[in-house]
Amino acid sequence: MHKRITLLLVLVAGGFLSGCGKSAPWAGQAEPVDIAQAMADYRDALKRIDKLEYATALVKLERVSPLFDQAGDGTHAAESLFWLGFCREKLQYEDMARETYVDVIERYPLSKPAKYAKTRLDAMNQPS
Amino acid sequence: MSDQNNTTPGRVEGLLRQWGADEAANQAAAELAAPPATRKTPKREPKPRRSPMRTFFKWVPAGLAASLLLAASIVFMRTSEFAPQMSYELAHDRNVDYEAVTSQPADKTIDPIVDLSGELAAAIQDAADARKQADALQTELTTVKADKKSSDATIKELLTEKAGLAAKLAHKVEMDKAHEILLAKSEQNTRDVKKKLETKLAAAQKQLVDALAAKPKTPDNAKELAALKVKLTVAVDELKRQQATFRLASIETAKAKEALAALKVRQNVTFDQIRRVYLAAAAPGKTGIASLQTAMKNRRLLNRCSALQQKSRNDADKKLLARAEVILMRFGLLDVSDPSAIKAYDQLLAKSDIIASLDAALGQRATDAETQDWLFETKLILTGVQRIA
Repeated sequence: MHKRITLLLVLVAGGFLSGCGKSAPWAGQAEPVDIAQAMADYRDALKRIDKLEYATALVKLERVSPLFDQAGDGTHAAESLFWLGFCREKLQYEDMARETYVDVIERYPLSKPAKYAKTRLDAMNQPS
Repeated sequence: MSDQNNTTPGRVEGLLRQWGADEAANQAAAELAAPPATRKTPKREPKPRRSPMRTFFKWVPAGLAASLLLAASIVFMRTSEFAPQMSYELAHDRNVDYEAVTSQPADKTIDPIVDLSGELAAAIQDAADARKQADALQTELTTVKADKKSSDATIKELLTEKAGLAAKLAHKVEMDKAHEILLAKSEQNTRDVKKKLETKLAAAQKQLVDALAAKPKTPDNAKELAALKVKLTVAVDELKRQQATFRLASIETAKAKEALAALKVRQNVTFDQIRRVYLAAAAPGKTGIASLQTAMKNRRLLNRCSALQQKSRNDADKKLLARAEVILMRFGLLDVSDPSAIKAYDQLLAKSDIIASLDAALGQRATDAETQDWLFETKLILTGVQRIA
């Protein structure tokens, strides 16, 4: 009986591990996230947005947003993703902006950025 | 036959005894033939007892597999794509009403009719309570609607009054600036005149000293000396007069500066009063930074900004609206429970020239009324943040 139990446990564990996919710590590509650097870049991106330098901010946000996600920092991941959508909207990449806003709403539905994303999405969908 | 039986009771009794004895004999024989019910099966030989170490090693692989399963499940949860959202979900789950779950009635074993009548009474009571609650909610709704109407009217009134007030404020600010510039110029002029006179006086004194040293006292020289003395006296008098003027100008400047400071204080007080009325109408029942966020949301400042940007034909206005939109959006995303975030936002406002830009735009007559309203409300919010932070 113990052999069957052992086999069952091993199979279930194998299933979980295969579900971890690429983001598993031993998958090779995952590197430790330098969260301090990511925060510095994020702040810099916000400063750029304040100065209406959307293109520079967009480049930084595209890099930083997945890092917050990877580090499990949901608050900053949601905010940075929202600002990414905002920059895309301002730079007239409307389809990409829409996708990004939808992404914010779907992935972080209870967050403040999701509410703002919904407002902007509604405004974009209104005929001008 | 019956006669025989009735007449021979002793024989019947004999027959019955015989039957009883036969039955007893049969039962005894049956008991002897069948195995006794309580007979136990023969005991098996006891198994040889297993060694505890052997049992332990037998279950070691299962234990390892269980640990592996636990580790794998943890890694799966941490690395799966919904992990970042867990914080939100957990926060949401905390709001579940556990009381409702735990207050389920226990399984009752009382009479079903009594139970049903009790339930009926409870249902009637619940319905009455629900009706009361609905009535209360209806009353509350009516009050809220009335309050909203009143708030909207107050805001409308405020905004109407605001137009004139904003123009007055802008005019006063312009006047103050002009006054400051004039004062500075006047001070500079007085300083220049004084410097010139002092130079002139020093030159005259030097000329006199040089003349006295260079020439012996002859009648011609005496005349020249007298002329120089007169010049010197005139220059000294002029200097004294200019010094008196300078003193007066300095006193006037100090007075004007004091009046300017008082005017600025009065302006701030007036602006604070306007903000208080605005927040009472736009964010009733809220205080602090949260009231500003609520007012921004209730007055739909961001939605209105997008519309204004689309409508605006003036590039400077468009740029200002875009900058103010970003600043407001950052304020909206601010976590009001985090004092460090509020401080950082206040520093951002201090470094930025957005409020000065709003003032400048409010002073312009060219901007349309709708944009003026929006700019004024945005200024109320942003200066409110500075005031509270």
